[in-house]
Amino acid sequence: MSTGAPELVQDVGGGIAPGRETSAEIAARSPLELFWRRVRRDRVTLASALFILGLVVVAVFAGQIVDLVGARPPNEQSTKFLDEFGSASGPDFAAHSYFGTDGLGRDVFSRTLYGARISLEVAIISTFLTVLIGVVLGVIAGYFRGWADTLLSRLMDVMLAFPVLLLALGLGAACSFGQGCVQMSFANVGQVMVVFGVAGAFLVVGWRLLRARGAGDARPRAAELAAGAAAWLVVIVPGLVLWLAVGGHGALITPGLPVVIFVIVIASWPYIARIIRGQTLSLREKEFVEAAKALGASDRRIMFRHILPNLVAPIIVYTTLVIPTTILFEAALSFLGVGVQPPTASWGAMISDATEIFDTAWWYMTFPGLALVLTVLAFNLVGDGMQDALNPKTRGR
Amino acid sequence: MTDGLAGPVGDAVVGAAGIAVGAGAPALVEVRDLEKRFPLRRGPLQRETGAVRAVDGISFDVREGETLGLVGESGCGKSTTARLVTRLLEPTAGTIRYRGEDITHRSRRELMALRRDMQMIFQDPYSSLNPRQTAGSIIGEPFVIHGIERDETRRRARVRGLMEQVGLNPEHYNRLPHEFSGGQRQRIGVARAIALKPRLVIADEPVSALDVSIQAQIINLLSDLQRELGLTILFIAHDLSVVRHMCDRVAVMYLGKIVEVASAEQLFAHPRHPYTGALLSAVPVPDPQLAKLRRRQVLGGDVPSPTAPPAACRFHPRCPKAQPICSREEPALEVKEGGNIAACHFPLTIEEVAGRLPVRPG
Ligand code: SF4
Repeated sequence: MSTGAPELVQDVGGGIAPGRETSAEIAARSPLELFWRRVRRDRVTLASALFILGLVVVAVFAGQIVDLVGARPPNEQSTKFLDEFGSASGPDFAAHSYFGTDGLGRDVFSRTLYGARISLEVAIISTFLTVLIGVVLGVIAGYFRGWADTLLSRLMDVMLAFPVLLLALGLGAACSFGQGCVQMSFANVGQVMVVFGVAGAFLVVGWRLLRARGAGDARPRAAELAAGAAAWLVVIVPGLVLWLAVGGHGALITPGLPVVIFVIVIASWPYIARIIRGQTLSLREKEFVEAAKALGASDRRIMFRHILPNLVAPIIVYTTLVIPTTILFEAALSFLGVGVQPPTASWGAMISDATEIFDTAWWYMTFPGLALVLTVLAFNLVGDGMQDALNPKTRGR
Repeated sequence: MTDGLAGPVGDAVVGAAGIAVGAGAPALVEVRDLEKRFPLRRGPLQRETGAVRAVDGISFDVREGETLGLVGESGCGKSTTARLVTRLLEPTAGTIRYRGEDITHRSRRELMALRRDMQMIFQDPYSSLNPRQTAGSIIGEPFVIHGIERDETRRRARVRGLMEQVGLNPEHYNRLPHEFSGGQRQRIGVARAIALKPRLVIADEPVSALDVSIQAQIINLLSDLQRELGLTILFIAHDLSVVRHMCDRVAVMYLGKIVEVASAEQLFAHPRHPYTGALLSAVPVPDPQLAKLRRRQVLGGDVPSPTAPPAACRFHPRCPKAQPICSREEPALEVKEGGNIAACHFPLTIEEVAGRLPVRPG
């Protein structure tokens, strides 16, 4: 049995068949039970999960922990804690300076703890948005196929080809001028969105017409064309709103948490959407979907009751694998200066600062670096463990 | 139209074919010149480079209360036919009438009422049940979709009743499909199909994925249910042995065409089309004496591709009786000796038939 799950083989009235049918009753295990059995035996996954749990506790109670051990608050600068040359001082347990200080005399220990808070905040919000957008668009593309699929798949290609880090670098460079803000107003963003949307709509309609000509079919239905073009309103309408309504006030994009999350989500959703699209494509061909159609089930019912529940396992696995990449992404953006803005503590920003004084203050880079590496590693290990535990093909153990 | 087969063949000829079983019973489903082509697209502009002609102009009736078998090798279009009749696929050409009403191009919404009347049993009991739904919720889904038995407790009671009716333990209501054996899963599929008391059940190879020992149980279950509920069944199978005990009439398909239609007795006693003869010679024989006497006829060659089916009689590249005319003129479906309707220029004779049958002739 390829499912790996022991099966109850006892057909009603089928007891005459010899062999396996008579071999008593094998207790059937539910997938959940099987999942727990496997996870419990997997020590690496368990240890990683405990580490993450600890990290969450630390992030939530960072303030209390810092008070408890007598360390200073994360943003308190003090020349008292610099060494005699006025630069960062190393760990000193007697002074409750466990991880030393940075160049401004701030406590690295409490900054590392507060950094966990930022990392997890970004990880949770952007992973949630990434998975939400990825799953919704992936299921729509895979289930409806046709023009919706063409549109979304091309969009994914564009997004995957988009040099996100370059964009981040550009933002970072722009930020180092003036007030530390990008001199691009929402109106500019709105204009770009409108142009992009209109061009996209024309491209889609043109493509459909061209393809229909080539295939020699009947002309595509007007409704379908209209729908294809209308999909771009999703981009055009908010663009117009930004341009005309918001943009007039000369709002500026300032780097910070929302920009970080936006960039991460834009860069990551296509990966999830692709995987989910592929899975949906194969699920929609299953006979149980056909059976639901034969019963007269609506598309909504098929997607919510028949397709989504069967996507739970891959969604869990890829969610756990997206979390570490978002943490790294946030660190990278903060390192480049477009992430979380000072004085807020972030691992990436701390590592970035530390590069300047690494030869004299090893501790400044070591502790946030270690925290980052361990966290990412733990999430990756848990993701791998989940994948093994949820995959019916890895047997027994 | 009281005849079993009509359309381009000519009603006069076929009308004379007094096929014994169910003659006179009104047709529940009338299929005429049904066609389904799946276009093949290639290149960046997705030009249509050809088409798979899965079903290529078939006509048949399913009469009220009968079981019609539709038999053929895999890829002959029988499953496509099932999905066209249930309108899971959109026909390319032809018409399908259900109780006199044209349902060929009805939209999904217009088909809702029909869905209660016409149900389907699927081939693979592993993939036809949603692995995340309990048996009870699978069987109860038709009620939910059609808004019947909205009351939770009453619905549960009906589902339990259905489980009992198909030979499942109602206490297994909350079990997931993977906790059942293949035969039990197929029983769940049957219960789901009969939940709304349909008139017509289309069974797409309902037993070919099951152990031989369990096949008979499911066949018996279907026969019993047919008697209790007065079902009409379109039974699709890839070999004749299964069909024999189940069907009143049998239609044999080859490469998207029907090549022979006859009552089950006629077909097993004297097949007329060489392809039917070949299929019959592959049916295992329980009588060892007879088995010794029998010549097994193995068909040479592969089934030709339905993208480019052979001209005229599609069976000619593999047919032992083929003559030049077979690749020039398409044989019409017409009544042959013994009452079978077959499409062949040189139908099998009594002598040729004698050595191949799984039963003693006469
Ligand atoms: S028409 Fe000719 S080729 Fe076709 S089945 Fe009959 S004998 Fe064979």
